[in-house]
Order: sequence, then structure tokens, then C-alpha cells
Amino acid sequence: MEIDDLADTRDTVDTVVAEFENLDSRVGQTDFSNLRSWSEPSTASVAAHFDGTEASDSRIPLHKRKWSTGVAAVDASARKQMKAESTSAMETANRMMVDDGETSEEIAVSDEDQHRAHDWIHSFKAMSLTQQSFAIQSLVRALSDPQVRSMRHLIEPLFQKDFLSQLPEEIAFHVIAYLTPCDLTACAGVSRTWQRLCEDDRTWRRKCLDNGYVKPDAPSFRFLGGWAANRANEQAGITIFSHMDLQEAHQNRREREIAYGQCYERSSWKSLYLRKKRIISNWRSRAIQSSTVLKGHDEHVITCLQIHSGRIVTGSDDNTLRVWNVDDAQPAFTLTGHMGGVWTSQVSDDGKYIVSGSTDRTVRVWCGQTGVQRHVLQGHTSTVRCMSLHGTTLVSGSRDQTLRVWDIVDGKCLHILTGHLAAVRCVQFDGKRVVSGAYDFTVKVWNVHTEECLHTLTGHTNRVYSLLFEPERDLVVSGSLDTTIRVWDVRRGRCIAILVGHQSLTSGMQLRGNILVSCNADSDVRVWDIRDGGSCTHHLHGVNGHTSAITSLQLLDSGLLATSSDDGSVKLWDVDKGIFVRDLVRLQSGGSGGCIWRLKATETLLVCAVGSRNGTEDTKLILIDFDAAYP
Amino acid sequence: MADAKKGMIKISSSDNEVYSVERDVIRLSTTINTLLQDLGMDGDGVETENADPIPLQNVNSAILKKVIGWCQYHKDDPVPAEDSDSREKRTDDIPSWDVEFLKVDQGTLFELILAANYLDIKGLLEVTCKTVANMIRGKTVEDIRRTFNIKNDFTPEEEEQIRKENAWCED
Repeated sequence: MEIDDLADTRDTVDTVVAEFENLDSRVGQTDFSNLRSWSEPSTASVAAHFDGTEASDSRIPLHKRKWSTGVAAVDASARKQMKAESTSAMETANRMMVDDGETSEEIAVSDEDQHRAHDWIHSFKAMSLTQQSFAIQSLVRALSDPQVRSMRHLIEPLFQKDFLSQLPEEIAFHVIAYLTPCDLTACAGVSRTWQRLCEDDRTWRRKCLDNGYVKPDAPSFRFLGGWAANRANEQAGITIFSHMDLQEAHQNRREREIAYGQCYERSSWKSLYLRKKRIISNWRSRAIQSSTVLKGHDEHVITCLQIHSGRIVTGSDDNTLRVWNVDDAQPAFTLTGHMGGVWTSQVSDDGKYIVSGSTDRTVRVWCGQTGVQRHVLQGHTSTVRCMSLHGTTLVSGSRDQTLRVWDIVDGKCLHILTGHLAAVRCVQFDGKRVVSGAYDFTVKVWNVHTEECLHTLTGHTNRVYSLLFEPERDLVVSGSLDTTIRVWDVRRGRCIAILVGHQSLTSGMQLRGNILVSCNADSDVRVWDIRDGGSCTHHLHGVNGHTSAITSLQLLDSGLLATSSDDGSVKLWDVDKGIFVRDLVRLQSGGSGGCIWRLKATETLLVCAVGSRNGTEDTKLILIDFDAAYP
Repeated sequence: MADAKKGMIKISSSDNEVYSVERDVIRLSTTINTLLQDLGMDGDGVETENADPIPLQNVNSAILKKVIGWCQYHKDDPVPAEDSDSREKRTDDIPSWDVEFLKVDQGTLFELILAANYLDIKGLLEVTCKTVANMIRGKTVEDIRRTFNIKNDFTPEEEEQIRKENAWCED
């Protein structure tokens, strides 16, 4: 046989034999005279309406084995067996059929009738292929409409295949690897065999890793202590949107304690995936389970806020820093010593050190575990306004126009970086290079070891207030009072994008890949693509937007963005879609002085620093829990 | 040597149909390719025309014809990367020719998968598995059962567990 003949396999297949569609209606033009060799497997084909195929052009090769089973199935025993295989499909098909009189119920027949049918099939089998074809043709013609439908229901399931159950397991795994986690979850509910396959731990591990869920971690338990005693509620002057009432929260807490589904064997990676998914829904739409209010710093401003593994650190212009425990929502200790307001703080990666900068011109190093003061770092001649910590090396920027590099373990000043012509407002440090933004309108890049200024990035026409630094890509982003945001290539020392659109000072920025989010005192959030000179992809404002200056933002890995504002609210946005998601917090004093000074968030926790400049709102922290248990 | 005869390989199906296929086409089957190398039938000037056909016991002629048709169309495709695990699992990238080619009934698709596996034709296995995945994607449990004629063998209690489980995937 020559292969060229097979170029279009479907054309080489012999002509259309029957159309199921037409079997149903049996309209006059159905040309059954084209019927030829029903039982020849490689030549016969049937145009059928199957999943994803069009009846008009899908000529489906017919398998002898199946077809003859289908026809011969009048034989009672064969029929019984077949019925068992295809009952559910028939039931489904029956449900789908409108006005379907005839269903494929078990037919009770007498022994005599059984014998008669047996004989009939026997003589059919004895015929030649041509005779058989002709017999089938004649039989179909002799059938009543309900009988035709009934036949269709017998035949249709024979063209279906339970792929996952019948394929070798390694191929079934190959198939499900192409499914989304939600599809996999649905598939586990199809049948016991599907469930076993779709609970495959390796498959789910892959899905988790694809989503950046690298290890199962223990859910937090934020229901006791301050979480129980000091809920953020209307009495506290705080509206938490769709907060669960106490009873509901209690029920929910029980659900977090009890894992349901003893009879349900679940992959541990699947559990992890479902938990992560639930945490995201907790942010997006589900009722808030737990919240708390932590009062402190009296009526002073909270100027800086950090979250570090179960601890919150706040700095205030009341000259202190306070450390709080997240788990029981209680104050841990207070860091006292500064002689002026604290305006900047950092926590070391290992949590051992807290560092703070103050208007008293000092940098202080504190023990992160006990709050004991370790060092007072003196040298700056004016307010210390910004800091960046890498390992145990700290860079501080001051109104005295200099930056100082410190070893926080032994409390020594390692380097002084001089060159700025006005106060240094913001700084970033990767261990080798320091990037600083100042009131002299410039951004400078320094080699920390040689104290040499590598680049002075000019272009901004007003004070530089905020900086992002991505050393791997040599990228720096700067926000200025001139309303623009500039993106710089700090290896070449060139501006590669100017983002124009905001009306005022940019108060917060975050970069994820090529997507930059920024919030501004003009009360708008913007999403930018920094490539090709930069462009604004979303402008988040409008009826659901903030009505006053935005004070800070935090972008979560899930693509959700939380923003805080002087209007006293915290809002949630979807950065990828560029849409408003929901309000999370609103102060009753919002609009009359109450504002959210800043927020910080982890995957499962939102912390807002709240207060007012006119005494309408006590200074406090609001904590909201978004964690979820394992299913 | 006549070009037309150059590198023709004979293979026979389980129902004893014999096909002559170009070496470059059947190369896509790692199983046959390896076999030919092992038999020393891989070099130039090796006489293959009169050799006995390679018997493929697990593939009938209807499926084998389709498989050869697929290989013929894809014979010049670049070799796919080895580490398919690290690649993104996409299913929306099936070439339109393959989409048409795979518009077959489920039984045929099933046998094509088995044949692709047996003959170790990576591209065909991939595209057929993706096609099955696409038949599942976005469907409800009921839709999936209906599509593949699968009987629900869970107890009502288990069904309730499953319903709860599925709720974890909803927003």
C-alpha cells in the first residue's frame, strides 16, 4: 500500500455510512443507499456528533468490534452487560433529550423470546459481510422512531472512552499534568479511579511549585488574646467590611481546628494549594474572620512600620519604638532611649537586630528579642531620615547631606559617602552598591567599599522622595515631588523611562517583573509597564477610589494590592485586571481627621497604622487576619 | 540508487497490512528508530527494501495509517526539548493541522495515544494527551462524566465531601 494515498486519511476513508443526527429524525434525504459494509472496520465511518467535532465533517472510523457488539446486543445477556457499562451515559443522554419517549430500560422477556432473538442473531452472524450490511440497513429502515432513538442511546456510549481509567497510569498522569488545579479538583470528584489519579502528590507538587508555593507551613491561630478581647469593630470606630459576627467567627475557628474528610485521601501538596487558594479568597471576597486593635504611642504619629516573623515594630515621633506580638495581639516591649522622634527603622533578616534613626541625630541598634539597646551610633549632624540594612551592614541617610555605612554588630562607622548637596531622603543598599535620593533633585549610585560616587542621575526637577533598587537587573526607580517617576539603568547611569501622569508626590512604589505600582498624594494608584520607555497600563481611581492622599501600598504575590489613605480607608485592588476589589477598613473618623498613616502586609496579615493629626482618632494599629487552615 | 527507494522501511500492522515508509518519517518513532539502529539498518547503502517488514503487534492498520500520516506531516519538525517537565504545561498551542487531524472519536483518540506510547512518538503523545486534557478543562464534574460516559461511584456522603472540597477552588 502506498503511503501517499494516505495524505489525507479522512478522504481515503470510505463514504459516510450513517448520520446519527439523521437517525433521529429520519428525514427523507438521508441516503441509506450509500450504506456499505457496516462492519468493515477500516473503511466504514460514521458521522456523529461528538465532543468538539462537527457532524458535517467528522467521519469517524468505526470499529468492527464495537459496532457488532452494538447490533448484536439484542442478545439478552450481551445486552445486560452492555447496559451496565453505559447506564449512566444513557441516563444523562436521556436527560438531555427533550420529548424522549423510549428509554433503554431493562427489557423483561420470556425464555421463548430469548431463544427467538438468539436464533435471529445466530443467522445474522452466519451471513456474509454484504448480507449483514444489507440486513442492518433494512433493520434500521424497519424501526419506529422511538426504536431509532433507543438504538442511538445504545450506540453512542460505545464511542466514548474513560481515558484516565483505561490508559496506562503514566499516560494518565501525563494528561492530568496539563490540567489547571481547579480542573484537577473537579476531576477528583468524577469517580473513584479519577480521584485516586487526581490526588497524585507529584502532580500537585508541580502545581504548587509553579505557583511559588514551595513548602507547607503551619497556619497561624489568631483568635486569642487581643484578637478576642479587642476586636476592630464599630464600637472601636472602625468598619471592617463583611466582618464575621462572633458566633460565625467561633464556628469558623472550629472549622479551622477540625479537618473534615476522613474518608478522603488527599495529597499534602493539594492541601497546600487549596489553603493558599483560600487565603487569596479571604483577601478578595470572604468575610473577615479575625481582627484586633492595638493601642499605643498615645496621640503621636507612627512614622515607620515593619512586620518580621510574628512581630510588628512601630516607630513614632514620641521618641520610642514599640514591638508587638502578632499571635496574641499584645505589646511585647518598648524601645526607649532616643531623645527625638523616630523617623526610620529596619529589622535584620534574622530578627536579631532592630535599628532606628531619629531627629536626635543618632542611629540606635536594639536587640530584636529583648529590646535592650546595643549601640548608639553617632556621627550624623542632623536628623537620620532613611536607612537600608543588608546583613549586618547598615547605610543611613541624613538631613546633613551625607550617608554613613555602619557595622551594627560592633557599632563602628565603616564609611561616609559625601556628595549630595541637600538632605538625603531615601536610600537602598544591596551590600555593594548604595543608591540614594536627595532633596538636591538627584539620585546617586555609590560603591560602598571605595566610597566613590559611580553615577549622579539627573533629570528630576524637584526633591526625590522614594527609591526602589533591583540589583540583579541594575534597575532603580525614583519617585519625586516633580510628580514623575523615573526608571534608571544604574550600570550605564541612564534614564530609561519617565512615567508621567501623577499630579503630586509619589508615596509608595513596588516593582514586580516589569509591572510597577505607585500610589500618590493625588489619591490615585497607577500601574505601569516600565518597558519601552514606560506606559501607564491601569489608573486605579474613580467612584471606588481613595478620596485623599494615598499614604502607602503593598503588593502581594497573588497580584492583589492594598492601599492606605488619609481618607481613613484601606482598599484592595487587582493589579493584573486593573480593578477595584473591595474596601477592607474604614475609620468612622475618616474625612474628619482620622487617617491611615501606613500599612504593611504579609500573605496572611494586614497591619495598618492609624491616627489623626487633630486628636479625633487615637493612635493605634489595626490587624486583620486572612489566614486559612488546611482543608 | 533510485531516490524514491532510498531509505524505505517496511512495517506491518497487527492485522498484517504492510506499509513502506520513508526512513525520515518513521524516524519520529523512537521505538522503530532504536530498533533500526540496533539491527544495523541505519547506514547508507544498507538494503532495506527486501528486508522483512517490522511487525508492530500492538497497532492495527487503521491506527497505523493515521500514525504514519501524522509522522509524514511532522517529519521536519525540530526535535522537542528533552526536559518536558520544566516546560510550561500549555494546551492552547496545538497546531491547527493537528487539531483537524485529531477530530476523531474517542476510541480512535484512545488508540492513537496507545500507539504513540508504544512507538514512542513524543510529539504525537504530547498532542493527543493535550487533546484529552482540553476535553476535560473547564468542565463541571457532571459534564466530565457525560463527556466520557463515566459512572458516579461515590456515596452521597463522599459526594458532599467533594462538593466542599471544590468550594476551596472557588473565589
